Amino acid sequence: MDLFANQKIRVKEDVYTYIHRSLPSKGEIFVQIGQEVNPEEILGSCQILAGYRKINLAVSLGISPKDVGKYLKKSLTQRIYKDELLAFKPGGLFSGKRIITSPTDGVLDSLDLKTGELRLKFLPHQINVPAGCFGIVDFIDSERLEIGIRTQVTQIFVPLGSGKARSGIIKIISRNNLMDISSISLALADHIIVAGSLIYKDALQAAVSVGVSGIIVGGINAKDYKGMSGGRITLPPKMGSDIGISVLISEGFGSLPIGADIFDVLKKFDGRFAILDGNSNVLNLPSCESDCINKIRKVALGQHVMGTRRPMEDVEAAILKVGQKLRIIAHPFMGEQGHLQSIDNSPTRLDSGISTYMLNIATDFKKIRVPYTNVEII
Amino acid sequence: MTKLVGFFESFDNLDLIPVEDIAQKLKIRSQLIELENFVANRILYPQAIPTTSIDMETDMVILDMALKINKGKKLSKDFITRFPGLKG
Repeated sequence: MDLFANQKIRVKEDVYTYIHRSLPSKGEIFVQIGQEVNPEEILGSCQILAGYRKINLAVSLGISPKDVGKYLKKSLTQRIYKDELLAFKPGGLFSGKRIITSPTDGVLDSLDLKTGELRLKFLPHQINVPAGCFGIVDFIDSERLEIGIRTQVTQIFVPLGSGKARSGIIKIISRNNLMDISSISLALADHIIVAGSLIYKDALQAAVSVGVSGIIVGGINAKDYKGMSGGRITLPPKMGSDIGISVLISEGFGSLPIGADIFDVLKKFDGRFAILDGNSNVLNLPSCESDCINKIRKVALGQHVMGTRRPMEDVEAAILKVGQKLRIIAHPFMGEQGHLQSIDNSPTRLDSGISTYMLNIATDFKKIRVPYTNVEII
Repeated sequence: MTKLVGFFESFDNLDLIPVEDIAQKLKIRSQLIELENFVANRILYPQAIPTTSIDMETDMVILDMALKINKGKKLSKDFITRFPGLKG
């Protein structure tokens, strides 16, 4: 008898697609349609005239909010430049010294002694937007200041996400730790961080404050997910959401380590440029091989599609076969992955009272038995 | 596309069930945050079945509440096929 399980693509390698790069404000685009670009090539440039960034110095220094002023190396209304010393706390008997540098050029605007948050007002500064990938410019939208580059990527698809497309450098922090506010530092600004098995709401807020571009995490509490997705859990979401950061959740709700299939790919791209589109539940990892341009030249993508299909729709039932890689989608083994070793010939009566066929699955560390409905083929 | 579904897929508003109400009806109390994650995972993976008696009890309470908040609404054909005794 054939048994079926849903099959879901989580990692797609060597995909040819468009990635969209845009100028954050009005500026000049330097490239032309048909031009070949490399990752460092500047596509355009613009001036950022206004804006603020909040930095929680109490958390970064590990002190009480009311003491922040003692360690500040600049006074309010003073000008500070990127990487200049902003705050310093000497090491003590039980703690190391803490050095906080400014993430941007700005003016110290205000300090909240109740929360320990410093508000830094940006100075007008120029932003250069690099291509971030090898590819060919196929379209330019000069009104939306958007450039579409045909390129080769590895794509990671996850079940949940939030936020518009943002780019940054991948920074792996953990696969299975809990991410709280103390893990967020100014050094993570403009990065896409791989944050572990669960991120708390306060860590999300701190990440927005320091200017983290994106977060990839195994799980999230349902309450926090509702908070960033318009108060509802609807699949697929009826509309996109954005809280100032883009987030991908690879496994589900609760504390769940990032799946080995996804984490292994992320490790290969640690320190490299990526584009995270939370509302489309996808991470695009451009190829770092310079010879990929030869293949890109030969590929035609047809139409200038803006956006990506939602992977939640890319689910199809398939027959379970010995040797397939499976991911468990329910407790008690939720999130674990392994290979199907055998399928029972007769049903087993579970503690829940349900009679069903069990799968025997070998993970890296143990052998487990799981109802066939509680797995996905990956 | 053909895919495996579960009866929770027949409801598009499980997230609106107050988790405190579910907790009150369960014999064994669990933390609200865990219960809320449990319901959310049932929305995400509706095809999964409960393996323990506690999970089964929780599923039944969620189903009971789902039917209450959707009273008067037309139930899906899939759902009626699974539970022929129920009418919309």
